[in-house]
Amino acid sequence: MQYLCLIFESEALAAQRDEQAEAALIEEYGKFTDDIEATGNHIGGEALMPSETATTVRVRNGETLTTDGPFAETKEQLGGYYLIEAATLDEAISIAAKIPSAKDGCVEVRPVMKFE
Amino acid sequence: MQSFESVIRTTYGTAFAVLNKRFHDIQQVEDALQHACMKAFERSQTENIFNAKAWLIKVATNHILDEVKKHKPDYFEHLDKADPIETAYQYDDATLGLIFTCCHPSISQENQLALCLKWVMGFDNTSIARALLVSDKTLEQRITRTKRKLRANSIDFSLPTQSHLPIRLNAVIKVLYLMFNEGYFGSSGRILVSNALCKQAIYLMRLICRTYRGNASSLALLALMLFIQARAPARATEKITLLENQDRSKWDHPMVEEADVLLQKSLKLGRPTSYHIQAAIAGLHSQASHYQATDWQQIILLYDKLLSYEYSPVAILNQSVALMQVGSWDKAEDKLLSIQENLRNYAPYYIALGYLYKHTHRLKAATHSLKTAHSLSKNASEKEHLQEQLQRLR
Repeated sequence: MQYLCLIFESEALAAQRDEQAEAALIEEYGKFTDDIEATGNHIGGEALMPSETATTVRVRNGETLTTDGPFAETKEQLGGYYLIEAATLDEAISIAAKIPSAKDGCVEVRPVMKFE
Repeated sequence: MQSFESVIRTTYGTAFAVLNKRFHDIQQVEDALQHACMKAFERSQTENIFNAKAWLIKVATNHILDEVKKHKPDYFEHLDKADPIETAYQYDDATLGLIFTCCHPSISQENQLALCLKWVMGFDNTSIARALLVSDKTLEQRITRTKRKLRANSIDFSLPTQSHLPIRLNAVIKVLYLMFNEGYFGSSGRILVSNALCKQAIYLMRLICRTYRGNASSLALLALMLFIQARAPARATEKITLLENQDRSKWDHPMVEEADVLLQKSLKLGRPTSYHIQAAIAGLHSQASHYQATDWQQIILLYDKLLSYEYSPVAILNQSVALMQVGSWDKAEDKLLSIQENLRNYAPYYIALGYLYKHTHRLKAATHSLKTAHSLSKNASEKEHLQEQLQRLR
């Protein structure tokens, strides 16, 4: 079964990280990605640019409306994602728990809908 | 004769698990068991049902087969109609699988409890809504949402793998703890229902201890349940008798001894958990020959330890009751006032406060507290007891 792990973290907190901490985090992510590639759980994943770079798009009455910024103002912002393959939700949860940002942010785990 | 209530509570979960494993259709299983429980009720009016578990499964199975034959004849052709030969061991495994599913950590604890009361204990939605203090509609929505989540995440009724066991087991234990508490200290006050709930929680806890040997928390919780359940014969006759007034010769002393052995064993298995501390407190109550002989000092210390694990207003309330027993009225009062906001809708809080005021000669305040307790209490025999106390204050 495929699960999308959405990684949320506080951008304010991330901005406070110094170069050394940033490098350590990137290394941690690199190792995590290597690990789930090796176990065959990895399907895809990317990091995203900060939420201030977001444009939110809606179509109302045939007209395209855009808003500057993310869909919702929240304490933690979507910072990236992994698409993983896991046999059970248990496995997906234990993989999500190893995503480095789970320690100070949070990870939302959602099953991917299958159309038959 | 075994009461209908206890027949249902002790058989429903296994029947549900076994039927669901065979037919993989929750709605169908729920409907069939509703039908079978009705039949069981009719039958229990006139005779004893021997081997109720097998009986319930048989009646529900026939109902499902009839329904399938009527509405899905094509599917019926392909269905294996022969009764599967199930051993007690397979019954246990199916039951465990059901509990683990109801208590999946991805479900909120409140919904885990609701699902357990429904699928494992066989309560109807109205009773569950009442126990969880929500409206029928809210409960139905929650159950529907939870079922959808189980389906979307393909959470099936299998047992967790070894690597996920610790986190899964903790969730199950916590819910059984809540279920037992609801049975013993619950607001419904229906002794018959409550006792069946406690007994079934103990049965399931035993099953877990047997299956996952050497788990310290499970053993400690089973010890805690047994220490408390051992008092049931002295507690619930026609109305609930408080611990201080119970005839202790009526306690189930072999059960107390078993609990003690389990607690000692669990203490050797690793770092004590909050279940260990609670079991130790319950054990001290059980060892005292009468209420006044209780080792209150030790109990006060154990509550300090318990509170160092997690903040709990109810634990503070209980500690303050122990403090009053050793005459530390000022300390008890400080503790009680510190939790006023948390327990403002909790009858036992005002009972303790009333006791404190009465014994420190503030009769007006005592009357006020007991009146508040009376209006908050949903338990008929507790209300009656409070009424008597109020009359004595006048």
